Amino acid sequence: MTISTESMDGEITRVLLDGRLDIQGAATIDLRMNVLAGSCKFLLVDLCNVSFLGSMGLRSLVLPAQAVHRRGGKVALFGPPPMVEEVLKASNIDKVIPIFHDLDSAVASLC
Amino acid sequence: MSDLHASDHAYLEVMFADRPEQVVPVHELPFFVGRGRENGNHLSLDDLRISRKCMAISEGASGLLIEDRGQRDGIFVNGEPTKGRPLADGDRIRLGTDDGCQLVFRLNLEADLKQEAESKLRSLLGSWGGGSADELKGLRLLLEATSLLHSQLPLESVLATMLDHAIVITHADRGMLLEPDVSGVLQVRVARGRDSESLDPASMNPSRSVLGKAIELESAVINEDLNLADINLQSAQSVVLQLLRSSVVIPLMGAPRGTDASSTDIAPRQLLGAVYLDSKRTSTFSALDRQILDALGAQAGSILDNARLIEHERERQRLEQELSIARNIQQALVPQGLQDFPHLALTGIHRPCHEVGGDYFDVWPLPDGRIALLIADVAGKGLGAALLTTMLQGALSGMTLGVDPVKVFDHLNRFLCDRAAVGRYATMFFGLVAPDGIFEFVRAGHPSPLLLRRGQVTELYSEGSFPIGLVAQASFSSAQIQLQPEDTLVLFTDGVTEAEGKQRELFGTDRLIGALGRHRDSSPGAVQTGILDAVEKFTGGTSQSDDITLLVVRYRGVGESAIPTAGSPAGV
Repeated sequence: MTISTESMDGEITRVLLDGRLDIQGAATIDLRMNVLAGSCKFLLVDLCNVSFLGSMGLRSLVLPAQAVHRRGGKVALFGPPPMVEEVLKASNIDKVIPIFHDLDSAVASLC
Repeated sequence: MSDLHASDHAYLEVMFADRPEQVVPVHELPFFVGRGRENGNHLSLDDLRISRKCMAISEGASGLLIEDRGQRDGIFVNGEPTKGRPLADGDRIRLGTDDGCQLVFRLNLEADLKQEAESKLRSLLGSWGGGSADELKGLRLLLEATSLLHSQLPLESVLATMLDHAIVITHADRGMLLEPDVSGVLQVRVARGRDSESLDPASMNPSRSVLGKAIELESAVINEDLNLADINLQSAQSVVLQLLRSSVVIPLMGAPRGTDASSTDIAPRQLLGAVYLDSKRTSTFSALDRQILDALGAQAGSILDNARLIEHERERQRLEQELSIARNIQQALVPQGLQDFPHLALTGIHRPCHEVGGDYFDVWPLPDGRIALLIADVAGKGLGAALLTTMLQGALSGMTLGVDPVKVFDHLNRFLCDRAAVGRYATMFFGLVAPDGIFEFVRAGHPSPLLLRRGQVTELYSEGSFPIGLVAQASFSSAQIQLQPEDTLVLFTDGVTEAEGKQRELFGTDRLIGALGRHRDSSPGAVQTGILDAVEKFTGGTSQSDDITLLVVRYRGVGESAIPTAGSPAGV
């Protein structure tokens, strides 16, 4: 699991996740995600290269997103592969963090 | 030895048929034995055959006494039942009627071992000459023998013996063994004077400057007196303070141990500690052979190294034992030998992938005749997840008392979200099957159970729901369907659908539906076996990476034995 970030226009931080978001993957990104959640206003979480989303991984996405919400910011999930999207939807997470499949809409939702 | 100190050398050997042998010193009188740490037990035997208050060893007029403190079926010494009697070395104590639970009482084990060690040493050493070559040979043999024996002796006494001999050989006044504490600062662990007396480690105050030098050089430093020493005077304060003329410091370095077999880097040698010898007389150590010091350092280092490995091993064993207790408790909480009900036949399995797991299921009848079914999966694995399942089970068992399950789910969700530090959440599915086939359920992010009806497999729901304890604003609701006779429900956790094949592909819901569809008329047991077989075939022997839990329920219909009439089921 790797995590990297890039800045986009409009104070948006794009977080690129790559690999399996299982227990180990979650442990790898937790700290970085928490730091990002504490410092960024608009988070675009790019899930295009996440091949597996487990229950601990789900938590690593939801808790930082809630922290951003509490600070008045917004979070969007972008491009989850089918298996990952299925897990997100089964847990109703799409009701709290919107999921997008095209980048422009994802960015638009954050502005 | 006075009676008062008899306990210094009394031991109990724990000889249980099904656990590793253990030697436990009787370090305090009275010494209590029993199950668990409560009741002030000094020796806790986690075995259900042992009563919580089992026995005690206490001081008698002429030695140590055994007393029965309430062991079920009594205490037997050498086969004779007893309420209380004096103990002699070698007495066999049986706890209760089971031969598998025995203790052997030992007196002076340490002294015996020491004597044995001494006699072995004497025979090994043979003629003890005066020359340094003889001393060296003697020393090597001595230390080899000591390191062989140290597994039987308490570590402290091995170290003390080693220091005593180092003192004799170097003609020092006193010797100490130092070990790094958690912050890496060397602290005196054992201190000995001439004539094998124990000194208080806290009052030793060895020269830090000489120690520092030896550690820096990674070799023995002989410090004859301040003028000769290659140490600047400023940093040599403690040497002056103690008015010590000469000292020897031998750093003890562990053998380099690579953490990774493929790594070609040589790991730096680890500092295990140091032997520090000093004398108030000048020139005590000047004639010492360096080889002697090196041999001493190498051997003392290996003793310490081994001792540490043994300590780690003991710690590991202890943790393993605790885990197996946790597993036993968890297995005991899962319903044993699921009972069928007039309108339901059921079977279930919980197969944790670790010692303890985060999945569980439960089945229990409500007073109104409905049967409650629950399956839950706590995020994560191992002990942390298992602790939360146990809490959930406790909270949910409250539903037996007629509490609305939706309210219980709401409450649990708030409870866990308020305590975010718990760091876990759970998916759950809870259902109530009434005798007339009305099936009400509440779901919390859990995969939909599958319904097998006349060979057709469907999901109860396809939309999502919030898990418990992840999203504070989540709310829960119940839904209901009408079951028909011979309908089969399969409740499962994602360990089934996320079982991985050799290419890391997932078993998936479609394969599960396929496996289930083949079992139109099978019994619940056969359905369960069929699913497990399909998963096993799919994974092809890859190790299970998540808990697997299944609950298979067959609705038998109203039948003659069903008591309440079909109609308005009480609201959940």
